[in-house]
Amino acid sequence: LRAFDPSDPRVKRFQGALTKFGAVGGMLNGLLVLAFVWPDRWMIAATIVYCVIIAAFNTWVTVKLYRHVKPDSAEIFRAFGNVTMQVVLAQFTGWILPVWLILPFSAAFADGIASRFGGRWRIAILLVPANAAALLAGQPLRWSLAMTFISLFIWAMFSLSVRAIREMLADSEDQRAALEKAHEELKAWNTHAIAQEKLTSIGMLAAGMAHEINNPMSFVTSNIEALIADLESVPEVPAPLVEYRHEILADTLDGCQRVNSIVADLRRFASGEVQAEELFDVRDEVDAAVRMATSQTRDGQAIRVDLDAVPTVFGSPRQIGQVMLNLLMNGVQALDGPGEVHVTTRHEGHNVAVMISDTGVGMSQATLDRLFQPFFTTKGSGKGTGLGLAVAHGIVKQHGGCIDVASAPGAGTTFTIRLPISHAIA
Amino acid sequence: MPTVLIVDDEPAVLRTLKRLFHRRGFEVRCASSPAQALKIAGAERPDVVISDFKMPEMNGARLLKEIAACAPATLRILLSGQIDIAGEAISLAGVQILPKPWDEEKLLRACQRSKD
Repeated sequence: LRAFDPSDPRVKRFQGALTKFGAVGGMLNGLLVLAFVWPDRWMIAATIVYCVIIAAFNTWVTVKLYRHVKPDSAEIFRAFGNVTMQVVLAQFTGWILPVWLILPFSAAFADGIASRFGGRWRIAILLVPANAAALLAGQPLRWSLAMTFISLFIWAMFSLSVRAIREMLADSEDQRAALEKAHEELKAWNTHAIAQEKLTSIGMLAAGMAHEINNPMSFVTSNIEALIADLESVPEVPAPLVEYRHEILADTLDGCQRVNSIVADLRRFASGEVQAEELFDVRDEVDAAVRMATSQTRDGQAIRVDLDAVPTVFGSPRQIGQVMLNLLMNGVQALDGPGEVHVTTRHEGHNVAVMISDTGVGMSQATLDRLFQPFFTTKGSGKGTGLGLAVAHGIVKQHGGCIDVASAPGAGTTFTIRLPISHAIA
Repeated sequence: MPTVLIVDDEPAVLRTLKRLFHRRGFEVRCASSPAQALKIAGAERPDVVISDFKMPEMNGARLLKEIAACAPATLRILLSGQIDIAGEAISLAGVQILPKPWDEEKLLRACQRSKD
């Protein structure tokens, strides 16, 4: 059985209550004596002094000793002090009954609440001086034996109930700890869910805006390109237009292209719609993503595809397509000059694995550490949002899969996406 | 002269592409809705169809699939903001996908195959 923790506020309250109860008990005991000594004035005065001393002593023990000494020792001290005082009073008044009466009362509270063994010492400390005083005062032995038996019986009964309370408290403590842990876990999940929710809302807003911006930007960009080409072909440009031809339109086109690349990034980051989940073949999504990413390759760059037959997976094909596209675009952008991105699929036990390797510049450990953090980007300002890989990571985790990355500066990068095979009946 | 059918619900996009292809020696037809596009494709069998993806009524992937049924020889190009079409992978077999905003040279090169 565990001992109570003395610093527990509930234990302190319990001890405080016991001690106050002891003080009140001392008073009642004093009143009893008062009834017997009545109307002897000296005896009345002595009893009142006794009551005051007992009450003050108990209060002092509570306030001082419980704080500075071990509660166990303080309690022994208190019980011993009380019984000694009663014995002194009994000798003084020649009347041993108050001691006998207070004995079972003190015995009830003698069991230690601070330790397992305290109770035995305390009951001994109550019984020994009281019995000694009674026998010395010439009281019959049967009285001693009877009162000792009654006191021990009450002590045993109270000990059992204190023990039961102690167990209940320990149980409730365990339950409280378990609840607290569960609460902490829930709170962590909630924070996570809110963060995800925020990212999703930002994504939907961004995707919606990006779509609206993209359409006008397509013809604005194209028209500026056409205007530049037309101005180039005119032999004599009027003076006010010369500056446009050489500088302003080139800057304008550059600005348009920057807007376009950010918009494209935002659109990749999140699609505005939620799609129903279904069984699908990852290779279809890889194929589509490869065709889209191929349009972004430059001369000497290629995307090579070797797709093994793989089982179907369950989830959102659109989202997985987005993951493939994000990783392929990343691969293509990592190519510095000529190079290739190689895409393969493989059936690995319970997973479908898609490997996307590039022969590009590779990444340092510092970059790898932050790779999947939202808004982390190594592209210059105005070139990337740093959301592509964060979103890819989020989607794959949502599908119960994982993304691994292997890379070293100058040695290219390989992303491996693993998605669990669906065991649903197609 | 090769014929190109351009489908987009945004008139400014249609005008821009029309001018681009017209200058490069294509005969250009424009449709501002999928329904109109199907009518023109069925009647004229253009060499190339360039379609936007997001349009009311029907998306570009579905439109190109229907055009493939009625005009199988037509080269099909989807101009798209990429991720829009990720869920349409299966209906996009045989379709060239180019990003929007487009690169003029890449777009023309994609169409050139029909000209040769």
